[in-house]
This record gives sequence, C-alpha cells and structure tokens, in this order.
Amino acid sequence: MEKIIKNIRAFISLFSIMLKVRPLLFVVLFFNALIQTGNILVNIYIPKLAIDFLINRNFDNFLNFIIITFGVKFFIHYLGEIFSQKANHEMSISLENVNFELSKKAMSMKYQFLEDPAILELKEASLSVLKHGTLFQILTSIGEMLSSAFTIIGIVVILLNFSVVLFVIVTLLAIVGFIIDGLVTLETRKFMQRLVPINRRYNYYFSTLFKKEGQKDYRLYGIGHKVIEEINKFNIEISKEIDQVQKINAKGKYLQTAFNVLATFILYTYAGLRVLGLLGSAISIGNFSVLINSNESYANALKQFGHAISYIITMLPLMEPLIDYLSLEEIDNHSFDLSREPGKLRTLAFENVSFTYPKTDRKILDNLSFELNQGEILSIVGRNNSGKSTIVKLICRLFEPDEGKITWNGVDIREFSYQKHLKELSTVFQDFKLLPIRIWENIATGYADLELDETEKLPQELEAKILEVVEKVDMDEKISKLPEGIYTWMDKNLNEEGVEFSGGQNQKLAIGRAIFQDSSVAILDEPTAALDPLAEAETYEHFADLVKGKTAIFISHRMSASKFSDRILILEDGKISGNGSHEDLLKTNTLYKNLFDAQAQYYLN
Amino acid sequence: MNFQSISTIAEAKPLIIAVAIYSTAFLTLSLVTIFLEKKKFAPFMQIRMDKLSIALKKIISSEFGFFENSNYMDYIRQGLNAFSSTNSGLEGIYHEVFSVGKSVVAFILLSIILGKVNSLIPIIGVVTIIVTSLSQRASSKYHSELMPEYGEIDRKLGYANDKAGDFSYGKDIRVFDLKDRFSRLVDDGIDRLDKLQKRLRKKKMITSFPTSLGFTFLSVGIVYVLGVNFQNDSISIANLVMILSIIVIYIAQIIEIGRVTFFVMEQSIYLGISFDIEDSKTDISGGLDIDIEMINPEIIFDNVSFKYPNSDTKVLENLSLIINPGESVALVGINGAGKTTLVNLITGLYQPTEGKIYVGEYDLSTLSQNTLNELIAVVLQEFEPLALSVKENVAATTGAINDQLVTSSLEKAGILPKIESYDHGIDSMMLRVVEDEGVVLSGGENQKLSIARALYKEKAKILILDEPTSALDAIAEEQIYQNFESMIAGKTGIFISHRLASTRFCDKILLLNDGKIEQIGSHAELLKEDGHYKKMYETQASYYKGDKDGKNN
Repeated sequence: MEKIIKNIRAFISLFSIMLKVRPLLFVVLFFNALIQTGNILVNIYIPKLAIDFLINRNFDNFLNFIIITFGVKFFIHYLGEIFSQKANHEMSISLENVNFELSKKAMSMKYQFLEDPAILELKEASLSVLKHGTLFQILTSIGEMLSSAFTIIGIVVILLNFSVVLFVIVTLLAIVGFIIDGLVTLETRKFMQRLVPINRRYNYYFSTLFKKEGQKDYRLYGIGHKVIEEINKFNIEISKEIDQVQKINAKGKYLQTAFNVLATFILYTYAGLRVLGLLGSAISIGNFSVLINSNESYANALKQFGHAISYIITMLPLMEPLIDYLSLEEIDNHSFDLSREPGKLRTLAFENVSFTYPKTDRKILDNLSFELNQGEILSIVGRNNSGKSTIVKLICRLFEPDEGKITWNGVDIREFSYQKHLKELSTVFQDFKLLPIRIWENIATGYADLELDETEKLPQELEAKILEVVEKVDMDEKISKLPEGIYTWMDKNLNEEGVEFSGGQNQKLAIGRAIFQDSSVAILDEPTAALDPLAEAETYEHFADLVKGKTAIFISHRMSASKFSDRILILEDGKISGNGSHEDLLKTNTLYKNLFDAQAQYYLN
Repeated sequence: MNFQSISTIAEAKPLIIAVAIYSTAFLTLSLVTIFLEKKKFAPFMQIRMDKLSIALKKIISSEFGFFENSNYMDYIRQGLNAFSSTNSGLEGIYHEVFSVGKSVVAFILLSIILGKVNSLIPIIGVVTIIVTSLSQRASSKYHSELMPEYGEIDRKLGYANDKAGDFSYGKDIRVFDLKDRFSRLVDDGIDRLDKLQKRLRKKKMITSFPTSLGFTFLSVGIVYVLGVNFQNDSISIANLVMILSIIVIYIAQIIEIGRVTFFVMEQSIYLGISFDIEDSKTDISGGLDIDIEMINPEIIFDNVSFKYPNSDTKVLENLSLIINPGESVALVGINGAGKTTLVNLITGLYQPTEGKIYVGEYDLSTLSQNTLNELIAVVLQEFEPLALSVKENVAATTGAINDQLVTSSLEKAGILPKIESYDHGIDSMMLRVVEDEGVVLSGGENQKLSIARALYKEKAKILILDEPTSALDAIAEEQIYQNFESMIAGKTGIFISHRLASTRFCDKILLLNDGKIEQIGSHAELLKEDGHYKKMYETQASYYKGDKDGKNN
C-alpha cells in the first residue's frame, strides 16, 4: 500500500514537472491517442460495412461507400502520421527542457549542495535517466496507456452492443491473456532491473574511454586496456542477463501462444456457431468479422495497457533522483531585506565563526575571529585544506557559518540583499571559471539583460569601459588581434571562430571581470594551476591594480603573500596561529617560517 | 446458450474441426518460431561484442591528435553505436532481418492466395510497397541532409547544457549573477533544435502524404475490387469474408517489411562508419616491440619541427638536442614555449612534422606503443583516477599486479598512510561510480597517486615529470622533492616545473622560448647569462627577499 502511494506520488511529481516544462506535450499525446484509436476502430468497421453492403447486394451505393471510406480512412491515417510525428517532436523538446531544468537547478540551488557528493550523484542519476531514454520510454508509455485505454473503451462499447455474454467471454479471455502477459513481464522486468546498476557501471567505463582528459593516460599507461577489459567484463555480464531474459521470454511466449490459440479456438467456434444460428440468435457475417477483429484489437490493447502500466511502475523508482534533484531548495531571495544595501566597506569582521562542511566531522574553521579595515590588504596563509578558501566562500555567502557571524560595517551580512552584497565584492576564485560566451559578456557580468545579434555592437560607453579593463589586465593586444575583438566567443565548442586562451590569459580576464565589478572589497584566491613565473608575477601586478584604493583579501598558496600585503593571517587547524607582518611572523610563527623556508632556501643563498 | 439438439452438434462438427485444424497448425508454427528466436539471440550478441572490443582497442590506440578534434569524436561515437546495443546497429540488423523473414514469407503466400482471387491485388500490394518506401527514402534523405546541422545543434546544445549544469561553474555563476546569461545560451539552443525539427516535420508531412495515400488505396482498393468481383459472382461469400479479414494482416506484413528495410538502411549508416574506423590507418599500435633492456636511454632530437594538426604555427622549430643516458634535464620557459609539446613528442603521442627523434639507436617512430610505455614513465600535470581499485590505478595494467611494488610506490609518493586508512587498503575501490563508498582523493592526493604510478614502472628508463607538484603546498612539495632524487637515480629524467628552485637536482637546464632552445646549462651557469632564465629566477626570488618594495619591480 505504502509502495502504491509512493508510486502515485512520484507519478504526480513527474507529471507536474513535465506539465511545467512543456504543457503542450500531454495535449498532443491525448489527441494522438484518440486518433490512433480512431484508426483501429475504422479498420474494424470497414470489412463489416463492406460485407453488409455486398451481402445485401446494395451495389448502387457501393461506389459511394468506397469513396467515403477512402476519404475517412485516408484522413485518419494521415492525421495519425502527422500527430505521431508531432508527438515525437514534442517529446524530444520536452526532454531537452527537462535537461535544461536540471541545469537551471544547478545554477539556482543553494550552493552548499554543489559541494555535496551525494547531490552530484543525484544529478548524475537524473542525467542518466535522460541519457538512457528511461524518461522517454515512460512518456511513450503514458501515450500508449492513453491510446490503449481509448481503444479498450471503444471496443467494450461495441461488444456490449452485441451481447453481454459475448462481452464477458471476450473479456475473460483477454484478462487471462493479460495476466499471463503481466507475469512474464514482471519476471523479465526483475532481470532488467538487475541490469540497471550494471548498465550504469558499463556506461561509466564506456564514456570514460572517450574523455578527452584521459587520452594521454590511455596511451602512456596500460590503463585504457584495463578499462576495455572492464567493459568486456560487463558486456559478458549483461549478455548473460539478456540471455536469461530471452529464455524467460520464450517460456512466456510458449504459454501465451498456447493460450492465444485456445482463446481463438473458443471465440471462432462461438462466433461461427452464432453465424450458423446454432447458438442463440443468429448474427450477420458482417458482425462476425467485427467480432473477430475487435477481439484481436481488444486483446492487443489490453496487453499494451498492461505493458505500459507495468513499465511505468517499474521505472518510476528510477525517476526519484530526478524528482528529488529538481525539488532541492533554491537560494531564497525573499528572506533578505531586499532594500538593505551593505554600502562601502569600513570594516569586515569574522566574529567567533565556526564552520564544518556538511556531512563531515572536521571543523574547518574553529571559533575564528579577525577584522579587516578599509584600505587594508590582508593575506591569508596556510597549508592545503587549512580552510583558506572556505573563508572566501563564507564572505561570498556560498555557505553560512554554523556559529558566529560575519559583519559588514557592524551588520551581519545575512541581513543584506544577496545580489547587492555580492556587488560589493570582486572575487577571483582559486578555480575560477569563464563561461563559453563572448569575451565582453564574461567581463561585463552586470549586463545580463543586454543581448546582441551577431553584428550588433555595444553602446560606445560600455564598450570603452570594457576595453579599458581589458587594457588594465594586459589583454588588449591579444584581443585586438582577434577579428571580432571583445565580441569573440570564448569557446570553440560553441563557435568555431571562438578563441581558447591559455590558463594565464584566462586568469587575466577573470581579474578583469572582478575589476569591472567596481566594488569595495577585492578577493583573490590564488590559483594553484601551473602559471609560469612571469605570468605569476603579472597576476600579482594585476591584482595590485585590482586592489588599488580597495580593501583586499589575498589567499596565498605559495609564499608570495608577503609581496604586497599589509598584514598576514596564518591559518592552522581552523584557528589563527599568527597575525602580523612578514618580518614578525618569520620570528614568531613556526608554520610560516617552515612554509617560507621550504621554498626560500633555494633563492636566498 | 443451451444446445438445442443432437443434430445441431452434427451440423457444428465441420466448423469445429476446421477451426481446430487451423489452431493446431498455427500453434505448431508459432512454437517453432519462438524456439528459433530464442536460440539465435546469444550468438548474434556474441558477434556484436567481439566487434565492439576490437573497435574500442582501435580507438584508444588511434593517434592522440584525433581526440583534439570534436567532429572526429562525434563521428567515432556514431560509429560505435553500431556495436553498443542489442536493439540497434549490427545486432539490431541481425535480429530484425532474422525475424522479418516471417513477414516476407507471409507476404508472398498471401499475395499468391489473393492473386488467385484477383491478380490486381498483389500488384496493388507491390505498388504500395514501392510508393511507401520511395517516400520514406525521400524523407530519410532529407533527414540525412539535415544530419550535419542537426548534429551540430545537438552537440552545442548538449555542451551548453552540460556547462550550465556543471557544479564547478557554480561559484562564479552565483557570485557574478550569470544564471540568466547562461540560461539564454541553452534556451537559444533548444529554440534552434525546435525550429529544425519543425522544418523536418513539415517535410515529413509532405512525404507521409503518398504513404498514407498508398495504404488507404491498398486497403480500400482491395475492398472495391472484391465488391466488383462479388457483383459479377466471381467470388463466394466465404472468400469475400476471408479476404476482407486478411487485408489487415496483409497490410501489417507490408508495414513490417517497410519498417525493417528502413531500419536496416538507417543503421547501415552507423555500420559504415564503424567499418571506416576499423579500416582506418590512424593507429599507433604497430611498431617494433623491443626489450627495453636493450635500449640505451639517450634522447636525440634531430632538427625537429612540429605543428599541431589543423594549425599553421610551428610550436617547435628546427630543434636539435641530446639528452645523455642517466642525465636529468629541467625544461623551463613561459607557458606556450613548447615544453609540453616536447613531452608529447618524446612519449610518441605526436609525431614530428619534420626531423627525427631517436632513443638510443632507435628511431622513436618505429617503436611500438607498448615498448614506449615500458620505457617511459610519465607524471602528468593533471591526473584523475578511474573507478578501479587503488592498486589497479597505480599498476595501470591488464596483467598481474605486484602488490608489494604498489605499496612501496605509494609510500615513496607519500600517500600510503592515507590509502591504508581505508578498510580495504590498496584494494579499495576509487570514486563513487562503481562503489558507493569509494575512495575520493583531493587534487594534491591525486597528484601523489600519479607519482606512485610512475614509480610503479620501476624498470622504466626514462622518467618525465610535468608539473608534478602544482597542487601541493610548499611543505608537501618539499617532501616530494626529497624523494625525487632517489626516484630519478639511474634514469634519464625530464622535469618540467615553474618553481625554478625545484630544478636544482637536474644536471642541466633547458630554457625553451618560442619553440627554440634559448639557453642551456646548469643553474649557476644560466644565472650568469643575462637571459630569460635569470629574469624568471629573480622574479621568483624577489618573493623571498625580505624587502617589501617588490611591488614596484
């Protein structure tokens, strides 16, 4: 019972998701089902009418009958073709939209989910439902369920018109057939279900083999062949299962065929006897043909209905990740006072902040307090995983402190409008990303509403402002050499004329994006990716540019922190173990001295 | 429904016997068909899987450069469709062709029966098949004309959507409020796909017209012909009813034959591609297999120039260079100077555009990939483990794994304690794809694993380290360096690093600039020269010289 309620609930959720992304889909499926049913009924009635006409020797109207039949048959067949194509089209666009919905969710859900491996798995499971056509099959099954239901209703009406007894016989036969079919389907589904995890693994190895990033590995080590070995292993496993399914299927088919033959035997005998008038009132030959044909369609429709329902029921649990994923909580813009603006920074303070990443045990920040005043440049130094980058995420409100608070001019940052708070920060993340859009779009991020055609240009003033930023980060020369300048796409995958910049150049643009934001605090989480010494030096120069006249936080993974900071914080085990100038810390802080010496020894002698 | 008399039973007897004979015949034939269908399944599947295995091997041994080309990748993926499912491709064709035999036989038999009644009927049947398959061909031709456009739209949409849903973009999207901008990209893609499908649908509306007309003509035409015959009394009521009942079955056979023909035509496209892949000469798996003990690990570049495929810029130009056996060389230079390219050439991933590379007395291009794999151990800049056990990731081989060597390699790389903290130690499964509780390591730890992997190839004579410590902090980096000297002992070593100080254990430093060797010598020698090396070194050193006016240099 519980299971049924769960299934119904899942079905309703799925239905409402589809209704949201593409309301038209179900309308089309509904009409498509109606037309397919119409087609079946026409096929049942044509022979009857023809026989009636001919046996009654009604030859005068026979030609008219043929012409009308031709018209009706053609109309419904053609309409059926058009609608089934329309249904396919709707289906494929709906699926794209569901896929889009998943991406939109990734962009709007609470950030903390993005760092939760369980959520990533949820996303992968949702995607695989799309990729492997499970959702497509479910939607197809819904369509089939509709059309078989219509057909069943239509034929029931026809049969009842003949006689209740006939209806009962045909229905009983059809139901026994339906049950046999259902048992076989359930049995095979059990096997198919066992294949789901195997398939998931198989698909992982299969797609791994094609990943661009892995190609060097596959060639330089034997690991590619190892992956192929796994693929072959799974293939054998899958084929064993499929072979089992085939065997069960065959057994079921033996049984079904035997029963079908028995049912046909009973029905034909009965109908034949009726025609001969040996069993109750005589029926016409025309009606005999209706009976035989509708029995066939009736049994098929019942079978199809059963298949569709059982498919939906067995596959619904696979939809749960998708349903769960799409119902993850989003960033709530309404819980903040939208009008409250943080204003230019005077002091930013961490007050007894503790933070543990969800689902972990380690307090990455433990009762942390520090202050940053206007115009000050602060460096934060520590070993890997010491919580440096966490500080940036907390300031950007990607996470909230578990205890304590972060204040901006004395006010808890959670009280400000999220968007307005972010406008006051110019952040370059350690693993920053530029989007596969045009260069100017990546820099002028505040202008999301501005949409340009291929040939359109930006308003002069804005263009000048962007170019100024590009010049500041020394990308002007490189970009002016591009035929499209700042209008060039930043990814070859989306635009063949696109440009692919090096890591260092991308970083310059990321800094440019932060400069463009024109905020009161600049944050640079130094990238760990390999930058050559000169590019690295340039980064510092540009950052110096970025922080000019601003308050700044600099998260350093190398020991270059001393270069332009007023003050250095040493982070160790989630606590601050040192706070002071470079010279002071070298004398007083062991960790700082060790970190510094590890590299400095080779430069100082 | 009470039986009226004995005489009715006698009257009913012929009818019942007729139906019984029909039923028995039908049953026997059906059972035989089901039996055969069951039997053929496994062998067909086996053929497909053998083919798949061959194709996959072909792909990972195809020239590395092909993977830089996304069109080629699309092509390969399509080709593999031919072998990756039971219901489509090669196996699909086998199954379908096998079972369509039924329909063909039924079609022929029914045509003969119907032809006896009226010879026009089978003719109408054949004409219908021709008309419908012609119109289907027209529509599939249009479909394949649109394929490149469709493929492009689909690929771009998929790409944009992937990126939009990619969690690693999450921070920037939130902080810079990029959601709307990004969404528009996907939205546009869906819009383009929608429009294209509409175009296709319009075309199909035209081509389904004759199809519908054909089927209507067939089913209603037969009725008409029968009517006329009946009027002339040239057909009995029994035959009339029989044929009218058969029409539906007859048409079903025609539809089935048409469907399978179309299916085979469609799937043959993929099959064609897969045969192309199989025949292609893009493989690097050939070459000499040589016992690496026989190879003197001396590396010689003889006037090597190199351009990446589809590019006009020479990344390396007339480069000549000798690295002596057992010597360790540091490659330094700004990004884009050609360091990684040099490594790509030495490892055989790419072939020089001009000139030759020798290892000992052997031309590198004549050696097999296997030999190169044994000869050279590489620590790549970025390494993502696969969902295999830790030891399988380290050993990276299909052969037997030496557990002891795995453990000692992990130890030298400084990651053994971490691995041993897991329940199954080196047998622990990595990633959460295959096992829910799989091991997931941080970027720095992955880098250490990658080093362990190179160490596992203890017999390798050439060791290449490409930025092996970029994700590590200074202290962890220092620990790794301390092991490098023993790692590289007795081997020819090539080391790429931006931390110039870390090149100290190398015998020789090569400074690459614009695809040429600009400076060569020991650290001390290069510092005396007034070149790029000195400039780069001083830039880095300035961070460690106590004074703070570095801002202005």
